[in-house]
Amino acid sequence: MSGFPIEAMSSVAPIVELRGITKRFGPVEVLTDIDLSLRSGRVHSLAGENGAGKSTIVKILGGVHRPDDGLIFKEGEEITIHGAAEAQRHGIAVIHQHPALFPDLSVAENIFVGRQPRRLGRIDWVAMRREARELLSGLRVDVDVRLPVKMLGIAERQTVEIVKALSLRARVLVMDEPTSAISREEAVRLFEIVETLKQQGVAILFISHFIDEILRLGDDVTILRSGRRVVTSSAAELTLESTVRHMVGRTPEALFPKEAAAIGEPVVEVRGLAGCGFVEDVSFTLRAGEIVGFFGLVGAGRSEVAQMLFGIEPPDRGEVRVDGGRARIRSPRDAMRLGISLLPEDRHQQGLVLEFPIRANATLPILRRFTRWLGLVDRTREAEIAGDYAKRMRVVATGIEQLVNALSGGNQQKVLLAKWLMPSPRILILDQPTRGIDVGAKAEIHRIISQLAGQGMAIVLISDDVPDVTAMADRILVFRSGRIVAEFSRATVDRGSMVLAASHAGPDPVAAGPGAGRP
Amino acid sequence: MKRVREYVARWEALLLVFLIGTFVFGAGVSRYFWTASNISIATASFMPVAIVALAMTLIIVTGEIDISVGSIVGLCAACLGVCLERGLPIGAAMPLSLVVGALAGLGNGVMVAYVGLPSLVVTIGTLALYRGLAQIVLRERGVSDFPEWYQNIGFGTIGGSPVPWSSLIFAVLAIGFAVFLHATRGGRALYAIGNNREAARFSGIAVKRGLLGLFVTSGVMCSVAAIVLTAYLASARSDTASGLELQVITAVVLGGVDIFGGSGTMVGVVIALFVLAFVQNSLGLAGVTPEAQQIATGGVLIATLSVFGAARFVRAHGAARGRFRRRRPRALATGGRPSGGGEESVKAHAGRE
Repeated sequence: MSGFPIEAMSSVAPIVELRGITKRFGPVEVLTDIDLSLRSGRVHSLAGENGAGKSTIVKILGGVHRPDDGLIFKEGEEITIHGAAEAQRHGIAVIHQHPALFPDLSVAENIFVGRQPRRLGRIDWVAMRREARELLSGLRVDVDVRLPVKMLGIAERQTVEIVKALSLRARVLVMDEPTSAISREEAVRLFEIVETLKQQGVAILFISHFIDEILRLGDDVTILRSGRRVVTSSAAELTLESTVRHMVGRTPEALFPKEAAAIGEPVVEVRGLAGCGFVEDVSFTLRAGEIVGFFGLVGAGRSEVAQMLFGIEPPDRGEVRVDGGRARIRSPRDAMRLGISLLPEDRHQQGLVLEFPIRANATLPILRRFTRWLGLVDRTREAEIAGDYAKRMRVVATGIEQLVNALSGGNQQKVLLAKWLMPSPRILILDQPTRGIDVGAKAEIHRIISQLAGQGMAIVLISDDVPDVTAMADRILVFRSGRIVAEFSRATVDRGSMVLAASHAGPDPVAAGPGAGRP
Repeated sequence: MKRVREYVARWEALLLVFLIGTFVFGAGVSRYFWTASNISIATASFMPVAIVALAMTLIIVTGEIDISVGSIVGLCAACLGVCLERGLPIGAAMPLSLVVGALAGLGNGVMVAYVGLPSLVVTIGTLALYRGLAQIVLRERGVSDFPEWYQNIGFGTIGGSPVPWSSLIFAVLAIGFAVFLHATRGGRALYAIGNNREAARFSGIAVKRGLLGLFVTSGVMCSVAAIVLTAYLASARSDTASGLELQVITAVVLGGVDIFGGSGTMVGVVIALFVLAFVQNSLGLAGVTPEAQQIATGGVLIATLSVFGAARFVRAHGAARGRFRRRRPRALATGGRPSGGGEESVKAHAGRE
């Protein structure tokens, strides 16, 4: 599989090396036979789609997970990493996207927490601040070390965490998507720091969703797909296109492509929708029998648009028309009256009442239909209808009275689908309907979605999963930073350009090259 | 998970055993315990707590709490007293007191549901605020010239029987609340809110309006309790029912309602109310002072919470293992009506919900 031998890249001996690492969670193998070398003064970038195994590698290096197979070497000696303390002892530090620091302690205290310099048995504040200042200025960072960390932005907190790691003599820094939560300008500063770290001989593992960053910051690049290393290469030998191609892979047969359905009149027209703080100018039309895919990275604004349409979060601006008439959607109940159903993203938090049986979960939005005088629930009819839907969705359970927290993820998702089909919606918004469920259940859910479109339902399918979206959607809208940035039709879609549109150009801080623009 | 439901179903049974134990204990303490008049008095004296506990059950099921109930009872009692002083007939004072109770509950509800403050803190605040209002209204006075017929609401018995009128009021309300909680759409919504508020909102349940309604209901029930309690004491004072919240919350928690919301039954609460009523009655007969009785009540509350805390721990473990021990799972598509385990759990859940 590997296109380039690792040895060809660098003659420097690695500080930390993973050899043949395999990790399983239950029956699922999330990493298979991973080799990875982190060398002094070099940045090794890690690329891959969601679920490719990037964060599992981070967790193995950070001592959170232990590999089931394979070896870890530090300067040629075999080591094990059990827990964060051992990772620290081996000189490995993980810089998280949202650093876990003490918000009310000062920068200096956070750097030296638990090992403050002492003088005559008391904390030597002067020395501590001086050392902190020296460490920060070593990275050419200007932060007042007396400020409480809660006054700092996320980028500055990341810097504090880096400095803390350096003061603990870390020689390997694992940076887990540091640029996802910070601005362009801050990312530029971060990359300058990375340059300085390289000069100091630190080995860096850099993880990002932004492919341009991966290529420009990395000296070496490893691309993962489905837990396997597809390629390790020097960054110079990769292009945006070839990277995306490696990430996405060859086109596998879709699990269950959408069947042809007659596409009818526009049902929903959205014009200039804005809200939730960052969603701007979202416009699209959804027709009967059509499946429109919303593709994009996590946090691109797809779920927010869905929640605005369902009345969870009323929009600030924009117009929503349903069947040509202007719709005022202020609550989920308003949305349901218009025939909209939303299968929310978070099955456990937003979707299901886990302590309820299948029956009560499925009928929750439409219990009104089974109530007689005084609001009494007609249990017999409720059970009948719930049982009907559970059968149609092929839920596997001991009966409709089984509590949903005893069901598998796929079956929970089917219950959730039943719940939102019961109101007989004409507009169905599915937010990540197949995330975290097994292949069989996924295929069944695709089958159901396809049938529904065939019956003339207008469907929005939100997904991270490239094959999912390309197999199911008639049109694909790509979201980035709260806007729609590209549109593809079923005929013209090309996976590479889809992934590129969602991630490329994101914050594009390295356009001028690392280190450029420093005063 | 079935074992958990069996466990919940057993809690009510265990409470019945407690109740019998209490009777045995009481009979051992005093010959007087097993007389119709003692049972009647013990019941009548506890009815104000019992009436307030009905609404409290609903509130705790949603994961909220109302600490201000004792003060609302005091405020409503003060209102009754002032009305009487001013020469208003008691028949007019009672509806007025209901309005005062509803407004007091509305205040709590708006702060909790619409301002979004935690109910524990809001109602600690109004615990002081409403009691303060009662003291401003009545000061140190006690009003006690209530008409005979009115006093009968609290103390009198039906016909020649030993059954107090107040227990009839309670019985009617208890049935109403039980039916609401366990058999209506509204009751289902309360359990949904208590288990997963966000999912409830995503399901189109008007969570805020529901919570507001609950606190108003609680205020009205406090006012009903004030009417019964003032009649029972034959006097209205501003310190009426101070400390009532302790007994009410103890009864609800002892009745098996999860203090974190989401589960519990009205049957359990009603049995727990009688357990507490007769424990206090027997302690009184044994010569234990009211102060020491309070220690007992507080002890029961803490002990019950500990038992449920331990049970939750076991449950968490059981649930984790239960995943891999699901019973005879099968596609619902293949069979007809669910049978076997399904039917049993229908009953078990009916009791729970």
